[in-house]
Amino acid sequence: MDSQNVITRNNVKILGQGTRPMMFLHGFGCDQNMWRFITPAFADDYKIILFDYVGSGKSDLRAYDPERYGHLDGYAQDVLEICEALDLTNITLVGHSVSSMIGILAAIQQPARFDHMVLIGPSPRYINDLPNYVGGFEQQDIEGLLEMMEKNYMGWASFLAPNIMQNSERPELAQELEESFCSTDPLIAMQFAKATFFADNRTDLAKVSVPSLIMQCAADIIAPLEVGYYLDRYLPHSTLRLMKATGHCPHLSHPEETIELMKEYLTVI
Amino acid sequence: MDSLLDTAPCGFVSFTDDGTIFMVNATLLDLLGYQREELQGQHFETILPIASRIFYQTHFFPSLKMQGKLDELYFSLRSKSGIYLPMLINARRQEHAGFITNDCIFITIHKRNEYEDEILRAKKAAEEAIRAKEQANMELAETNALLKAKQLELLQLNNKLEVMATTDVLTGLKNHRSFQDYLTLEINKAAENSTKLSLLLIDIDYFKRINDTFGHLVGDRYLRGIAHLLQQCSTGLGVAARYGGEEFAVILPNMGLVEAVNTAEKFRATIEADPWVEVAVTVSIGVSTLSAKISDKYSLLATADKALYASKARGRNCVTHGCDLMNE
Repeated sequence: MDSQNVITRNNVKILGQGTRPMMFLHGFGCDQNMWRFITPAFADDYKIILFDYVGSGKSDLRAYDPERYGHLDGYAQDVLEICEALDLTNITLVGHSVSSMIGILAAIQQPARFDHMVLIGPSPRYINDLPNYVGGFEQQDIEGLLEMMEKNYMGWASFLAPNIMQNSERPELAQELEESFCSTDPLIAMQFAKATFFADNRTDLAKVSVPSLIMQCAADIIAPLEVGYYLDRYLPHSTLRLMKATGHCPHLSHPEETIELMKEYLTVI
Repeated sequence: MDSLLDTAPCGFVSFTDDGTIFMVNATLLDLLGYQREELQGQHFETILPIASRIFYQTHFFPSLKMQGKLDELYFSLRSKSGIYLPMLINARRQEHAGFITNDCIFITIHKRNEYEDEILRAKKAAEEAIRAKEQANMELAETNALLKAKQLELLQLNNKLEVMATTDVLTGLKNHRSFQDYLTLEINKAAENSTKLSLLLIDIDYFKRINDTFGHLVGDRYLRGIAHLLQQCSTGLGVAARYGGEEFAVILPNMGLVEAVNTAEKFRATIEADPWVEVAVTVSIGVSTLSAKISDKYSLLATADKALYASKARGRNCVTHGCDLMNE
């Protein structure tokens, strides 16, 4: 794929004065803007790469292919295509939530490109697999979430045919979307959530050769403590750090602690 | 807590970025069945069922933090007794005295929710119906195409059968059965339109001898040869048929006595003149024409037959018309 096309398609932004690339992978629900409390702290030392997955933020919705993006591998491809378009090596990858796994999938495919990974609130599988694996949720919890998402987006779904192209045909909607919940196309947001919450990447962990930092929040229902310990055990070359920050988005709720832990890890190695 | 806000006709919660409930109004407390001290200082997730908690952590909180305000959000709260209460929510990030809070109002949306559920169900059913209809349409189109193909096949087969049923296999001329049908048809036409009609009966001379001397394969070749000549000569004039083993017939519409005899004579001469390989061959011909006396199939055939017999008697290789017989 033409490198300029990729840059446009994924709304790639490059900032910072450094030479070593630091690539930020946003989680679902929003877009690259979620990193804005973190990136300034690294702009002097790194070349910051920000982007939106196809279907999120200001990416090109026309490039959305439900088959490709119905699986986390499709998102990993976005990452790799951007790396290729910008010819990046020695990358420090920072992934939040589902993007921890997406980053891992990318690193398994092209380990030579990546130096380190910072995984914020990662989980290889969200649904419990008892008696041995606690993911935190039961199938019906996820179904409840999807139902809720459906209702939140109902105002924008056309009545008879869910058509993800509809937004491009109704420009006035784009304005509305910007002001409201999130500018992600409703159907795409749900499909991303499905791809995330029904994924199981436990068997992929052993294939990882790139070293990583696992940032585990206290009282994170999405990525609970048991999951952090599981990753510490089964993700090779990983370091587990327990945060004081609670919830699932420390880069938004506790940016200072997040920055501190990242710097500590990246300086030491 | 401001008293107006406390008893406002909507629920109100304010929580800090780490999720701690800073303020909650009486309306919401009553709705959820909590006392103020049970919720104040607790995590916002306390009043959220699991699906809502996921939604809060993955979508609600990040979006509110990024955009500063959210309108018309939908998710459920959970009462102290465990009942799920669907809500419509507006949220704003505000700054009070140096720190940031996330302020939310809650409106019960129970009735609307049921309505929305119904609409969603109807939408899904409609989508499914459309999909099923499109599927059925596609199958119908396929079946249609198949049917058309089969119909064409059938038509072609029918035509083939038609030809097979009316053709004499050896010579390619019309067979006896077909000849009879044609004759009936032409006689009726002639009667209706008051036009002329003649019939030729042609018999190969000494055919048995050819078979006995040279074998049946040669005999068949002669049959085909004569048939071919007959077909050539009668094209455009009438219908040539194989009437019997060594006998042929030609129906000549719109021809009276003179023309029919002339035509018959031309046949006879052509066959005689043809360079046959093993031995020369000739034919005897009997002619009959429709008239007042000879008006039906049987008399037409019988007359031609008698005329043929006369040709044989006269020495073969000649043409006799039925009229000649009557004159005798």
